[in-house]
Amino acid sequence: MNKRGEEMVMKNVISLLIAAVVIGFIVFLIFRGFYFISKGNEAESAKRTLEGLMGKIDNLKDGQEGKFTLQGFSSKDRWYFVGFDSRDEIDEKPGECSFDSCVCICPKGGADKGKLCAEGGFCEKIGDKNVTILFLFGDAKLKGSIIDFKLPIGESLGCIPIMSNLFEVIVFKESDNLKLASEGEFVQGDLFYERCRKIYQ
Amino acid sequence: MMFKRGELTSAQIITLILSIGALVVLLGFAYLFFSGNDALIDREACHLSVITRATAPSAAQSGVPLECRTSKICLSISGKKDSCNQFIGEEGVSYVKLPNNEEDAARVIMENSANAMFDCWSMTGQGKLDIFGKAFQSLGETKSSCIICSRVALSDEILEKFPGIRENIDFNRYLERNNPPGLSRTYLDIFTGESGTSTYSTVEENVFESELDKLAKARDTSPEVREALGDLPTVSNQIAFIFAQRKTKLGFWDGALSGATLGSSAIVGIAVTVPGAKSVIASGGGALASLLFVGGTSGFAAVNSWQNQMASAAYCGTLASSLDNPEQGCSLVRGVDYDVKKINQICDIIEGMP
Repeated sequence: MNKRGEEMVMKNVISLLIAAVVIGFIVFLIFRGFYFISKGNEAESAKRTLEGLMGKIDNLKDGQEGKFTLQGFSSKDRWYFVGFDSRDEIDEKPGECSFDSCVCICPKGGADKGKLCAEGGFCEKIGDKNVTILFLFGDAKLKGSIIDFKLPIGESLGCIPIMSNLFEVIVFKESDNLKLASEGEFVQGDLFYERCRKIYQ
Repeated sequence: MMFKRGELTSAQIITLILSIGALVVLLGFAYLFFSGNDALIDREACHLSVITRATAPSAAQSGVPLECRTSKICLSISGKKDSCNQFIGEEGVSYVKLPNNEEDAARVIMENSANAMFDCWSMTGQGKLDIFGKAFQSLGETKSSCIICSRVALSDEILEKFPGIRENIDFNRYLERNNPPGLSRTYLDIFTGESGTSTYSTVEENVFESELDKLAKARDTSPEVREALGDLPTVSNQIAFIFAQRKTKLGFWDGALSGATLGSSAIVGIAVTVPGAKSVIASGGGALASLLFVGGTSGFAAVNSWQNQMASAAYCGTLASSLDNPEQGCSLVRGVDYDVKKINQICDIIEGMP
């Protein structure tokens, strides 16, 4: 091959490489874009779910119990309702709860060591009420009122997973207490569940 | 060719026309966004996201979110905010005041229900688009995905003012005789599409309805009888209009409907499907039957006929997408009692936003 031919080939190869890199970068950007849009959509659904629940809780009077149907959403990352007490250590709570009790909705991926809602979640303050969140699975079923409900050991969690379809949450509100309960299937091997269990115990 | 001074050239005229056209389009968008018609914007956003997802490359499909928000409609006598307990604490509820006349009130209930069904059907591409494409197959081929397009609720006061309103509700007849706003064809004609009315099945008398009526009377009149009856089924007085889609390889219409062919649309009534549904499920089931079947006889509601008559607009056939080998499946738009068990029986996964 003569020198001119070599130069042509080199030019073409370099052009091809640059084109491949640029196309790859554009494809990466498109996928990142889709990812962020999708995450934003998930976050908005989560926020609306929490607002919907809190709106219903706000309308309950002290001493009242209500059963509410909530619309879950499909998500890449599982989301949970988590409760924090005003007495909990401040470094275990999301920053927005500060010294108050709060109910939060948090993604599994947002959990960090010793902190369930380290990032990506949304919280609503509820003053200094004691918050109890129960998720029952296995043979544990919610029968009757949750007011006097006794916690079955090993069959409950302190987080309520957000389902991909409809689910029910029972709420009991008092001047100094807020209890939320739901029931469903336990997902084996879910680390978030293990943390919920640990924190609850 | 001679040009007079000041005369417009054809290029200038075309530019001018295009500019005016663009201005009209822009003004149209501006009107949409500033007119406060949130429902219209939501519908258009949902429709656009459905099309985007159906036409996106298969690998990117799961990343395209469905921008479909559940619209909430409260039908009440007063038309006032918070007149429907079902929506307490929820944002974005539209309130519709029912007329003072019982017949007209029934008509408005049917009109709003029919429009909710029509909007759901049209914004999801008439069921012909593959919205939950190949990227979702890891979720399992047999799982069905849904969008809850709207929730239509009746306030408690309706039955107090119009105790006989159920006599005036004939939802299927309404679909048969009335047109969606601004269109010249009936709901039924549009739902059945090119397949005509040969696949249309009228809703027969619902066997459960009379039983439920008895329960209702017992509950209304005697506290003792009510106590003896124990737990009554949940009263939701709320219908969710859902879009459901399920992929399948075989057996679209098994047992659900006779005479329907691949790629056809139909409208089916609940009385046609429920009695046969169990045998259909037992025999392996058709994709449509699995979406149509809602088990149990509960769902006692203030206006039984409104809920029990709820017809479904269905499509079974090839679902359009960007895939080389488009998949087949069934899509359905139907009104279902807003009840966890009933909706979860049809929907394994709900997409869109609450």
